[in-house]
Amino acid sequence: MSGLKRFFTVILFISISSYSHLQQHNTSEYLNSPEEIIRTLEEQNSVRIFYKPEWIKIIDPSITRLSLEKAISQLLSENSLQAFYLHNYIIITPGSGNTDLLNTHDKQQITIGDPAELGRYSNVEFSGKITDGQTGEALPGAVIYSEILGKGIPADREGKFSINLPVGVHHIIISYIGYENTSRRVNIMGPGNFDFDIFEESHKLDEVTVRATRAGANLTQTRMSMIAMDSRSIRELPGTMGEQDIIRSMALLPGVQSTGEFGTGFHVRGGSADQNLILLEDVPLFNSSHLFGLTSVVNPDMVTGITLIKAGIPAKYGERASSVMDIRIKPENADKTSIRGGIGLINSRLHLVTPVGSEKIQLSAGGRTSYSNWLLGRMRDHDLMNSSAGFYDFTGTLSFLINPRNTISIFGYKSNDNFSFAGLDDYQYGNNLASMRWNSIMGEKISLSVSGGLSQYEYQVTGDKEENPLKAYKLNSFIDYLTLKGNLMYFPDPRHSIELGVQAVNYHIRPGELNPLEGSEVIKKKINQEDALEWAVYLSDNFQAGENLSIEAGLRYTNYIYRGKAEVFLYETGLPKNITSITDTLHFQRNQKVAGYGGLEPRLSVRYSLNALSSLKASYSRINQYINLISNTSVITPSDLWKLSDTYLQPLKSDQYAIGYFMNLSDNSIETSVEVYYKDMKNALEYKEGATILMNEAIETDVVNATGYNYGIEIYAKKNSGRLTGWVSYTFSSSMRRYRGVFSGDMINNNKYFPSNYDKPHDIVINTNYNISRRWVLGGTFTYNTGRPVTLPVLYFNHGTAQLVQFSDRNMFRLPDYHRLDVSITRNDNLKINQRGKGNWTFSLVNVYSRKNAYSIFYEKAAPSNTREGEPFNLYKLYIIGRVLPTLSYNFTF
Amino acid sequence: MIFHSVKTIRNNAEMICRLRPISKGCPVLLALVLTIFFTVSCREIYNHDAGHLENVIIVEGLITDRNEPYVIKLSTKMLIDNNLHSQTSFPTGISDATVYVKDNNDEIFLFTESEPGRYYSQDFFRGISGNIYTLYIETPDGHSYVSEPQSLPFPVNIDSLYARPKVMEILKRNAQGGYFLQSTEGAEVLLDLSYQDEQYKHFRLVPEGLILYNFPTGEIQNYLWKRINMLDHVNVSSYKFETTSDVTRKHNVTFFPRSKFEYHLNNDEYIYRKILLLKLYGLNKDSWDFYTAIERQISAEGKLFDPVATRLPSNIRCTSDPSRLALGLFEASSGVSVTYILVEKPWENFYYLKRTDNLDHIPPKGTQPFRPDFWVN
Repeated sequence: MSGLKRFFTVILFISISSYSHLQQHNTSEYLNSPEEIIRTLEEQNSVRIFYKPEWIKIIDPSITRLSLEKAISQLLSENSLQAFYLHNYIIITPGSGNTDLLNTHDKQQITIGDPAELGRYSNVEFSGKITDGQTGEALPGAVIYSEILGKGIPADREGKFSINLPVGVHHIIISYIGYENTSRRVNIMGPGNFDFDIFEESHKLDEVTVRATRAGANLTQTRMSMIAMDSRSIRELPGTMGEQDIIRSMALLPGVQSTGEFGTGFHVRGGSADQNLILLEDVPLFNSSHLFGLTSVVNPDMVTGITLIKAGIPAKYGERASSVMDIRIKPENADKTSIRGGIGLINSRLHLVTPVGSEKIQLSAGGRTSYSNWLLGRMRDHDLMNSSAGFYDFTGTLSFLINPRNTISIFGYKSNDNFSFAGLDDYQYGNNLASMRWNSIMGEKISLSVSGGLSQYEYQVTGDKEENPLKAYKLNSFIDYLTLKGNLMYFPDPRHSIELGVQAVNYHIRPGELNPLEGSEVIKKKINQEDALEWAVYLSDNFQAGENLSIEAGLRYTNYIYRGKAEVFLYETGLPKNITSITDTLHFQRNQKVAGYGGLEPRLSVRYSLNALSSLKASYSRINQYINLISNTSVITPSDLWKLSDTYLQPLKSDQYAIGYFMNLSDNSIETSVEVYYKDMKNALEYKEGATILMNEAIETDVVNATGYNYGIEIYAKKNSGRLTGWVSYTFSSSMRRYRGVFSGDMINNNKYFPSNYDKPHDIVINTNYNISRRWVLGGTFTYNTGRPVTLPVLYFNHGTAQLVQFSDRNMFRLPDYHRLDVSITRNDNLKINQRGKGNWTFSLVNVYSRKNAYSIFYEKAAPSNTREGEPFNLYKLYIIGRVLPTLSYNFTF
Repeated sequence: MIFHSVKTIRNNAEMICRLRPISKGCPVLLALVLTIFFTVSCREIYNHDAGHLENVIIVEGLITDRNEPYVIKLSTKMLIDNNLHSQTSFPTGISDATVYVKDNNDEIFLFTESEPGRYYSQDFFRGISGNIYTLYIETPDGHSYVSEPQSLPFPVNIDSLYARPKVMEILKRNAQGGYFLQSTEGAEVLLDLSYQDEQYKHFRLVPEGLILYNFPTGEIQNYLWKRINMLDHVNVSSYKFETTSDVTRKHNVTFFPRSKFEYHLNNDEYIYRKILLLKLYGLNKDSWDFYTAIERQISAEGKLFDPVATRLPSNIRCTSDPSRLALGLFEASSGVSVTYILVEKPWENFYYLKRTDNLDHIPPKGTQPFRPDFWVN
């Protein structure tokens, strides 16, 4: 496996560098004569071009990199020529009357297929891709529609479409909300492809739209509890401190909650943050936050699509029990280089998209870096000057279009965070991700996707190096995750798809290595590494069962083997598990099976359309999770421990049932839904009183397998179009846990149910955008939720010289309710459709009414006083943003 | 207690690791970016209605194998209500209770109340290592409490106690309650020991300083002394797994600052001797669990990250009404008391410890115009 890992890494970097090189030696530079260039155009586009060479005085070899349409337009305008399009023939003649002919969106005819094959087919497959003419981005959900037949289909997630049409002339309309409708006359003669560019309607205020998917998709898709967004929708998400944060923005959706201003990750329907599978180009992120949650590690500029599934998770996904967030950052199909970026308060970012050599090779690369270190060094405070806090991340993808049916994409990602305070302990953590995927359309009805990837997460703390050199230490922990996936899709007919796949995951965790620094007397220590293999095979069938009923039924089988090298402590029966009840130790050799789990994971989603504007949906899913995050805090910190299921800690098993009613109003411009869910959990990890997480060789003595349930109702209404867009959501939920301890020391809350850390019964989100004018957009987000459960001291007492507190039952109290209002106003610089450079200024006010939302409650002794005995404890509330916070940022594209 | 605020020097690497990642410096950093830009993150006193926990008894009891009176303290709780001047900030002793200890031979040893809430053993009662003792309490309100049976461990022997120079960052508080760090030179006292018995590997230390000093008034030399508590809340043997080794190395005992001002002496007074009075208690499992929980809880103080709430275990329960809360510990521990003189040669940056006769009997403070018998050389 390590060879495979090296392979991915080497491939990634070699590829990036070699194709950067290729960019400078484009084949078009070797084309000299007009004949060669025209011939290249003909070969590339399967057309015949009729002309006289002497008519062409100026020709730029680089037009071969453009689409046929653009290439011919440029040729005509530079040589004062005009052209006529007849079937697959382009006839060029002198004159300037029709120089714009091929660029006119209406009244032009496109010929699809070989005229020689006319009469051979009655119906043919017409396929292609719909992209944004300005940015080259794919437009998933854009609709291609044959006016004659009254038949249309939406483009898929990659903007691709495939429609079966009878041979003949069709009036095709391409529509996408927020874009100009584009109509083309298409003469279908045989099977063929054509890519459509359409343009944004940035000057029409009454149709500005935020739409995650195509109109009515929320009614017609079988899956429920799913949010899918393209890059354009992502840009419409509310920003935090000047830039979009896709992961934190998800916490504004019903059933998804964040911890507060800080806090890594998010919680879905009462599940902990580690129950969310955050996939970045097929590989999972183990820590999704920079600076403990100030911002997420995913560069928002680079995201081309994001899908969050909360229930009815398809069989092709597993591994984590609560949700799947599938983030795609594949390169856009750009025919020219574009740069996008932003300058914000915390960090700045840059994103480059460019074809490499030809449009068949696309590079997308971007990075972000913070500049807090620079600022800290200039603070007039000794401690702050000696402090550091910063991060950077880099993301790159390279896509090779081998031919229209085969694509290979390579992805690489690296992030790093570091911080120290007053020169004391240094903390560092980072993610390294890489993947490679091959997509192949193997036939008209079969497609194959094969991918492999790795994800590494490393954490390091260096402590006491100056404060106490004799105790100075370095602590490292490391996760290595390798995966291979194969996914075969079969489309028996347009309303039926079958998916079959296999996946293997290799886990390798080094929970902790403690090493003394030079001169230190700390005893070197290493916690045994953990290794496991998880493999899965799945089958999913998505079909239309009648006019109104669609079903997606799936079955996933997972098998998990925890393997050596390992040591397993045996405990005396009849006694609680602790260090004194260890009776023996079992030693397992490398790769020897230590423990094994597995099972079937059924998945089912059903949609029944009540009418054109409403539908009922239901889903069920079971997921086994074999890796868990053990945390002794209510928010994820980088030092929390990822732990594999082993002999004692069994895999988390989640069964979720959900039903929902979906209704659209006003021609699908308003989407509403009500969803109810119940989630049953087994083997959820809970810690015992005073658990030790780090460097614990027998973590099973401090952690137990608890049971629990979560239920809730989510009400959601979203307005997609018009001057005012946005959504309102309300969630009522409950999340409870229980551990039935046999021994008094093991019991949690006397074996009664208690609220989990993620139990926030009431959650309200109002998110709006209002287009004041062509240039100005006003945004606002209000969030409210019940304070999360906490365990607080209830009394204190003396013992010897120590003053001690006694805590309440676990999670007996709650933080004060959280609510906050953020507003922003955005000014767009340039509204011209084809203007190359665009930018916008965003001014925002975070926490408008200066609410001091509690991030945590902690206790500390009060200051000494002569009027009382000892130093009684005080409770303190920590708030992160205690007053209104103005931010200004500039985002640009050119 | 002058060293109340001394930063705890962690003897044990595991403990360092457990504490550091979520200790004070880290959360400060979390808020760093926002703090430096906007100075908007802050904290404020949180008014918390903890409810009204009634009928809580706090027990602090210790019997040893040492020839000394044993004390069982009974008191009520203090409520956290942020009303620092209220009566709830003071513990109240529980008087008129019947307190006795029964051993595994069914022999009963009565404790009598000498001051409110403090019950002392009779002279003839001495704990014996290997015996099992159970505490019984009957309060005036008619309720009965009993401890878990406690086995009194065998004594732990010190292999080596030694001192070495050290510059310590001492965390101090100003009058406003704020913290500041002060570098202080002095001697760090460390302990090595090996375990003779597989069963009893845990100990706790109670270090005290005995400062002998002089105060010349004219030609008369005054001999003064005072005992100083040098225990920073609790000093207990290492956490788990360190004890799988049969040796403890360099366990931090205490720190003697060099400067006399750290002992609250004035310019006219000069120190004659610094003496360490050390009690070493061998702990059974219940006691060790209790003290390590104390250490965990104290280390969690001031953490902003919502650390695991450490509820202290108690080996006391109410037999008449199981819903009544009993906190604290009835401890049966073996005790060893030793006395060492700290010999200082700061100009050579050298310190060592010299064992001397046990001075544990010296009163807490005193002054004499003549040289006392215990004025050791």
